[in-house]
Amino acid sequence: MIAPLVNQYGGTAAPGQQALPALAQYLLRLGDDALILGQRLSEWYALAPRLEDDIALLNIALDYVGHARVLLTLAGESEGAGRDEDDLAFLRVQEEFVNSQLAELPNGDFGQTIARLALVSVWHVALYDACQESADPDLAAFAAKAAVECRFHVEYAFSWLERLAHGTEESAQHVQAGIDVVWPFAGELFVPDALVDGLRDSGHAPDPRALEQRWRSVLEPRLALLGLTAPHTWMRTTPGRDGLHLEPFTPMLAEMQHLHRAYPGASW
Amino acid sequence: MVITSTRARELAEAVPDPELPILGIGELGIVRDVEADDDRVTVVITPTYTGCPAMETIEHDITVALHNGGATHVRIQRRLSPPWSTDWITADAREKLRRFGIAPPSPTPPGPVLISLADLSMSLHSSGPECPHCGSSRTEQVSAFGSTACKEHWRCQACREPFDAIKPLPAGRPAGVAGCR
Repeated sequence: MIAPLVNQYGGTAAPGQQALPALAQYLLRLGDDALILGQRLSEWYALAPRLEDDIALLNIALDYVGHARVLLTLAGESEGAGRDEDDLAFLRVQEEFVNSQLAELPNGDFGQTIARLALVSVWHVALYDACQESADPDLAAFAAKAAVECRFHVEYAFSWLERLAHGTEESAQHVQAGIDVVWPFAGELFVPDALVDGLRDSGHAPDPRALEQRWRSVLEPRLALLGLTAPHTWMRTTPGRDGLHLEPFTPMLAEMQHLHRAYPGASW
Repeated sequence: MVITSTRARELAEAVPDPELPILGIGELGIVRDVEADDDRVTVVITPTYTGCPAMETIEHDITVALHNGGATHVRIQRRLSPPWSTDWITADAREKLRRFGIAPPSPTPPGPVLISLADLSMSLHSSGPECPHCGSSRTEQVSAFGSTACKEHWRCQACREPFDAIKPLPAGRPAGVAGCR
């Protein structure tokens, strides 16, 4: 049993993370992002403004859960301790989840949901597009498909970003308020820490600096075109990646995990 | 009972797609490899749309079909590389889809796909689908998302009927060896 690290907040880093091989840790980050995003987006079920948007949001959530299944399975195999996708999704505790805080933010209203989707989906396309050349053949193969699937997410988010920004004064206020909340959290996606830099050097993962450049080159002109502004605040630490999550994460995780935990070993 | 690789392949490919039962999974390009060794069969499949929940049913149905065909031990393996593309759907299958009232997937852009983010007017469809009811090319997309992970929702401006279209998934770039940019 390896003692947990103490991070700069005085708390402990995600217990056991340092025991995982680097690639497994990275796959866990991507898998947790997808899993938590899927969980959040599925909260729109039967509540979206129109039937077509209910279907769209839930299909996007389904894509995320599908991506999470592949990534968590690959992470478990890379770890080599016999944990499968279900063990990782349902039996880890809060501090062991390494999703970004952007992924776990509550949906808020439709404007905030679209704002977060726009930021995440552009990052996903840039990330998975680059991961097609990963030295890990499974990650590369998965990324080839995920990049295309996430491209459909970008189209959806951008079309609503435009409709809200150029709709009424009220709709523009709502989407701008959404951007104000979510934008600063995007910084965590691009922080170049030791893990990612190491995997970049070995050719397994893309350079987050290049991803940030590509991400900004798409989003900044788009926001400007739509008359939206990005706040100056920008996260430069990685709390989510260190297992530190926002307060709403706890009840969300409980909702996601309780059924599996209530009936250990059950199957359909 | 002994089963040959050829027979095992026939049985596997004939398994109907759970969502589109007029099509066998063989003509969708899902079955990559089938090997029989006495009464043990290994089937390699490639998943289609990542979120698609039908893959579990497909694996189960393959197992049942092969057991019925005489296999005692059936092993299903998923191969992620190269990733599945709608380009792998056969011409016969496309015709069957059309007759069933679902527009087959649009042809995807040739060559490796660099996912363009800057120009979103460059659609993943190189051309819109023709209406499977009346054949008109005056069609418009209602939503890129439909009743299942594989479908989009379109409507025909000529005959005014709505229809489902199979979502195009291009072939993507081959898995690299040089490492990420």
